[in-house]
Amino acid sequence: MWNLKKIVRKITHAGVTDAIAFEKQYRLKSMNLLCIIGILIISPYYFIFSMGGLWYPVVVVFLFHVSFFIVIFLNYLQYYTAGNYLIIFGTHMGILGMSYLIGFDSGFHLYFLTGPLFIFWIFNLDQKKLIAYAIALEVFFVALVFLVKEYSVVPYPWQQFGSLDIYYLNMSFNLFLIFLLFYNYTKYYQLLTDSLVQKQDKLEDEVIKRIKSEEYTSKLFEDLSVSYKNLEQFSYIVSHNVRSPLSNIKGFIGLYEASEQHVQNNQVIDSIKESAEHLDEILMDLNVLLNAKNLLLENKREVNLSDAIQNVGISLATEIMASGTIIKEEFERDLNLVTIKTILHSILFNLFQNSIRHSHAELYPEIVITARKTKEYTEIKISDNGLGIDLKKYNDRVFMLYHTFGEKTEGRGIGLFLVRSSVEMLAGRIFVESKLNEGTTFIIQFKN
Amino acid sequence: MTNTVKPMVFFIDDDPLSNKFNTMLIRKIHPDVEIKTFTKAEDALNDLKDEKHQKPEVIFLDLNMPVMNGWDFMAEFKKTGLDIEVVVLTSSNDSSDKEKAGKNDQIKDYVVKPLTKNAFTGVVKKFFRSKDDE
Repeated sequence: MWNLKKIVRKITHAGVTDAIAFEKQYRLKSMNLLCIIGILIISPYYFIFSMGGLWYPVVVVFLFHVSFFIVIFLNYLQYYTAGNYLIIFGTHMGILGMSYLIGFDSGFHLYFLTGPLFIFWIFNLDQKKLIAYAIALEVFFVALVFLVKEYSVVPYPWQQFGSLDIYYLNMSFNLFLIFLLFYNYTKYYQLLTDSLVQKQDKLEDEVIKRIKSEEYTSKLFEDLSVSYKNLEQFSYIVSHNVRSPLSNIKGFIGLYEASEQHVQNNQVIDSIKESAEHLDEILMDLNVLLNAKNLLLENKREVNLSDAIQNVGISLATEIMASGTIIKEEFERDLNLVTIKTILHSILFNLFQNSIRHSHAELYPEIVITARKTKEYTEIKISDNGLGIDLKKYNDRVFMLYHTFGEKTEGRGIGLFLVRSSVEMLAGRIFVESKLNEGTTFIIQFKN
Repeated sequence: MTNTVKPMVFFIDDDPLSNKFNTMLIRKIHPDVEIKTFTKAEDALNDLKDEKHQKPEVIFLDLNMPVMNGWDFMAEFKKTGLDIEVVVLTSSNDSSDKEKAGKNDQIKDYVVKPLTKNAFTGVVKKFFRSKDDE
């Protein structure tokens, strides 16, 4: 069977595509609907006029019908402006013709009210130029109707067909059109608001997405700069430390006397062996440093500082016992940090080891840890009573690789380098305060 | 009158193996050159300040050393006012080190380890010739 709703829907969607703005889509739909309503409204006049034996008006009504269909067809072909003008022009021509044919008292000129309604129905208020033309057309036709009424002979004087008063009929059609217009606009603004709300939601989602991607980018940048720093360190180690034993090996091989059973040869071989061992040692260090970077892959979580210090104490138990080191915690027992546990452990481990190794021979080493939390960062201070560092002299080299200070050092200058790069991996900062022979304080700040 | 004083070179390098190699190399190619090695730059500085000791003709200096590094040594050495040629002998082929060395007037040359016969002869040739001219 005929699915009326579907057919009406199909006709009202003539010329509507996704390519045009939502607002314009809606206007098109209304305009097509208007044409359908126009066709329906006009149809009874066939009957009315033919009943009165008025054949010319029947032709005009037919022309009305044709122009409504053409408007829909023009819209379908996407000649939107042509459709707009045809509906205004056709309507007015029809009104003029009909008014003339059946007599101006019949109320047909009431349809001039429809003109302005059409204008605001089919045009966007932004299309000022088109609206101006339409209003001019309207004024022209109104004037024409009055002129024709004034100076022409009416072929069919006003008559009533039975009890049907065409005047009231036309009046009620116009009121119906006004109602439709307001209904249409209300509906339209409702839809517009909904679509705006939707758009806003979309925009919000988009903004959130952008912010997230920005966060991601900055995280990526951070990772990248850490990687770059690592690469720089790696290249530094290779160019300074790996080359050293290698160049020794190269040199000694040049001294080897192949032909004679030289006394020096044994010495040369021993030295090559020693250099190779040294090289191996440095490569091991390199391994340690590079592995430290892998710790970054671990997740951050809440770590209790006191527990972390206890753990370091366990790891360093032998050295602590042998040296008689005293470790004092001077901070709240429940002070927690959100951090990567293994890296924090490595930082504390190396700092404690550093303090123990650089202690006075005649004093028991004492390590005091204080910590406090401010709004922005958590600060940990690790002080010892050891030999201290002459910062005036070595300020820029405290954290550098393979730099040791003082005479009786056991370390090879890796610890503090590792500490600084670990702190930097956690996006923190480290400072050093020290007085020669009195002790050293390392201050670490992590952003909260 | 009998014996002229042997020319002398200093090697300042924290790596004893490197010093050992340099000594062996020079013994081989220039047996009559006196060699003094130092693993600590301070010791070399003290030796230079001691007026009783013979001054070297050339100082071979490593850059990366703990406590007092090559640059620290150069700063202290400048204060002594001694006019001795310094040659940087280092394992670092880092361009920034080379640049820094080039800017220092007292550093006459930059040699990347290991020291070779040619490099050594090239560096000390001038010095030997001037000795011969006297």
